[in-house]
Amino acid sequence: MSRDASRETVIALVGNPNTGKTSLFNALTGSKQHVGNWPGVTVEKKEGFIQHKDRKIRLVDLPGTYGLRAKSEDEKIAKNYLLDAESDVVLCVCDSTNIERNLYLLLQLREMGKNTVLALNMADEAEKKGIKIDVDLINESFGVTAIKTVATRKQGTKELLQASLLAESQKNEDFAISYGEVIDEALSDITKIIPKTNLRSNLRYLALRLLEGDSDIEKLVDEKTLTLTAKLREKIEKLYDDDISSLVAEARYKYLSSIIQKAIRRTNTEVSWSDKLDRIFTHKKLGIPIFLLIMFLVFQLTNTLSAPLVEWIENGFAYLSEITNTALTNVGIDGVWSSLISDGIIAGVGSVLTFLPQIALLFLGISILEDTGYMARVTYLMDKIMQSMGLSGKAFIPMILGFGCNVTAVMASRTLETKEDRILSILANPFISCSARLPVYVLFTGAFFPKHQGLVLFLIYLLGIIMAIFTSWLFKKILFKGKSSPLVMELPPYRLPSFKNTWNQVAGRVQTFLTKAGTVILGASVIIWALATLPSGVEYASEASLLGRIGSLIAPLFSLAGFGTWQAAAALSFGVLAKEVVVTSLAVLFSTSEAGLPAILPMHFTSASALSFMVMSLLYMPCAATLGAIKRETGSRKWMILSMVYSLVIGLVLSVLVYQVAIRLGW
Amino acid sequence: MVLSLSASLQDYLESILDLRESGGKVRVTDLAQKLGLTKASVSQALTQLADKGLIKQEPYGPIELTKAGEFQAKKVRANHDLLFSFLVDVLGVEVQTANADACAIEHAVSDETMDKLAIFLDSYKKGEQKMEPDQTLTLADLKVGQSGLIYKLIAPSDLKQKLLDMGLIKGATVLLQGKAPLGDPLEVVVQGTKLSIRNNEAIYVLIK
Repeated sequence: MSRDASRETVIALVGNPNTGKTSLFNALTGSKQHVGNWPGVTVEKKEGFIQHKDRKIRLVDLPGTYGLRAKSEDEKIAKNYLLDAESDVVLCVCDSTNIERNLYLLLQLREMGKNTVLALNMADEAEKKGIKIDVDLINESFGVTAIKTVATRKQGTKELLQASLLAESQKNEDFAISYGEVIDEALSDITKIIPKTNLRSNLRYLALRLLEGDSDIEKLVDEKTLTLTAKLREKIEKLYDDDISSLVAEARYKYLSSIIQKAIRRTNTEVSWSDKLDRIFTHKKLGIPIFLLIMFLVFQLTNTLSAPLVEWIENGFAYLSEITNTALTNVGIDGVWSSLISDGIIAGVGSVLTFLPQIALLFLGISILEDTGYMARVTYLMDKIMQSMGLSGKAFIPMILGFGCNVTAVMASRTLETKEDRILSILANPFISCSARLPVYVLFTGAFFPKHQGLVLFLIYLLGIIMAIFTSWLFKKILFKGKSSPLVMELPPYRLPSFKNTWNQVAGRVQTFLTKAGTVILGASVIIWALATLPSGVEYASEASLLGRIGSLIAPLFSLAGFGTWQAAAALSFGVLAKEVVVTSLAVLFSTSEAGLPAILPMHFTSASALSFMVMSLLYMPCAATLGAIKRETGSRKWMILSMVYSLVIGLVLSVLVYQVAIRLGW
Repeated sequence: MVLSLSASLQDYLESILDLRESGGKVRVTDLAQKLGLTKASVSQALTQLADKGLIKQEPYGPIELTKAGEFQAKKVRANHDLLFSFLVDVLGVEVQTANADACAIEHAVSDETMDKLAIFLDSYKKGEQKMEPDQTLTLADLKVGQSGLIYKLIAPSDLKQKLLDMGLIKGATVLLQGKAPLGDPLEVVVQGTKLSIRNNEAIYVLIK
């Protein structure tokens, strides 16, 4: 089959998780890569373009999957793509050190009738482990072309591209394995009457999926086919006293082991260093202490290394704001427009950019821990504890990250497997007190509780943790009742992280943060600036400004909590932009400097209302950047709004409660 | 033995029971589909069963077994299972043949023979106990460092699918390598891969 050279070839990249698929994707697309992200609800699917000689190739990276039966979200994306979209060649990436389970996926691809090229990745590791693979036998058994690759070192990538382009132009051999006489016969009966669909698959594979009861495919066929499959299914399941899915899986593994016995030779059976490491990292007594130590180091490093960077950014923006102001005045632009640019845009965007060093460094740490395979062990270690709160072990890392910044925490929730777990983690996370809220507590505890500063701080943090746990427990109860996601998860062998991979991950996350969260912040800054400036002629951020009026309007809401002044209300509104802005805006609103605040605050707050104001600052609403992240990660405005409303209610209720109890205690 | 009923009527009762157990209300359409017959012939047979007081059916309503009907249906099924087990476990007949033969014999065999067969099978299986899997042992019962052969998965379908795809299939060897600090989840090795699995998921994996 010859193809028009100008037409692009579509290659879909499929494989088990942890097979180096992403590395291979990056190695293949190289420097010319253009990575586009689909904001999929759950998992992303990446696309890249390659120019190979005179051929244009579009490479689609599908989420890692173990099978194609589509019970989980990521498998659904992979399966639906393979069945619905046009791919010329499927590139199946396989971990050469663990070939058995990896070939299980290849088998299904071939059954589907996909023109497949097999990348035997991590060939170097396999060699080191003394694993010898008979490539010719694999090729012959599956009707594929297998190429040994080392994606991290770009070995074998050219051969892989050539093999893929060759495979495209060659006739695809039919492939089928036997499931025993009864099932085979049933499959051929179904194949005879199955109606034509648009699905890109062999009829026999579709028949098999129907027999297994795949509801997606059942929707596409007629009554007659359904009746027949149901009848055959019942007959077979009764006959073997087992369900079809098990029978199919067993037959496949049986077929695979017959090939593997001949094609794979292991010459080295000593305990690998990976197993030795696991004896330490997942040790019954030392496992958790070691984990805490590692987390502490990551935090410490993040904070120490980011502190000077944050300062530079802050100073940079202050300077930028100043010179812009001067420059604008010099060219005759002042008043409203210069205020918009310096007070609104530069100050607003600047306050968010100060998060950048922390985000980049935290994700650097996380991506290294992820690449080495340690993250899977953390999940393993913490699962029991997290389960008692209604969360999966995988939600632990986002929880810890929350103390640094809720934005990173919400973003890290994407590592969770099911949508339910992700949403629970995302809704609970904003209550974990992030570092941006610390300035508020420092200010108030310093002014009102100088003797018990540490204790009050600790209690505030504790309240945040309790509310996060309560929230995940509550939403688990009302939203996802009874839904528990399994934790059947691979613990991959430890590997050294590759610099390139780590860099790509960090850069990708930083970029997302900058573009998307940046636009939210920019918009919010302009709106808040406008509210503080309008109607024209009023003093910036005074009671007469729209912001002041809004503050006055909502202030009564807070009167039961003891801080019903328009300034407090306006400061909290400002605080949505970024939590530390509460402090700066209080200074503006009370017409003083930040240094002068401790002296002025007691005129507007009592000890009791200071306490309730801190509680409110902790709980009342995720900041704009976090809200942006929630919307992006959940893929819907709905959860963002729910998070806003829910935390506002929780904040109000608890701050009123704290205030009322405190005044009754005579504070 | 169900003397008063023809073989096909017994099959009807058995199918109604099957359908009811696999989910809720039984209708003529379901029954016709299951037995591969027309609705007309199913209706005719149902009238006969209703006349004998074995089923109840309101016009256009669902079909319900009476107490007597349920008894007969369960008996037919028990007979089938016993015969099937005898043919396969004792005589070593092929599964397909055994199933077909059991279907044919179940309608014509006397109560006395069935009772004797049940007693025989019981003692036969006790004698062969070493061959039979101990069904109470699950992956969660293994001790650290111990391994076993997977005998059966009894997990709900979604989880079962996942377990199967991860290589936890009948006949595979699974090794319990360790437990997390709080005793849960477990660290197991199967098909050359290390997996983490919770106790409450491991109990679905029956081990020999």
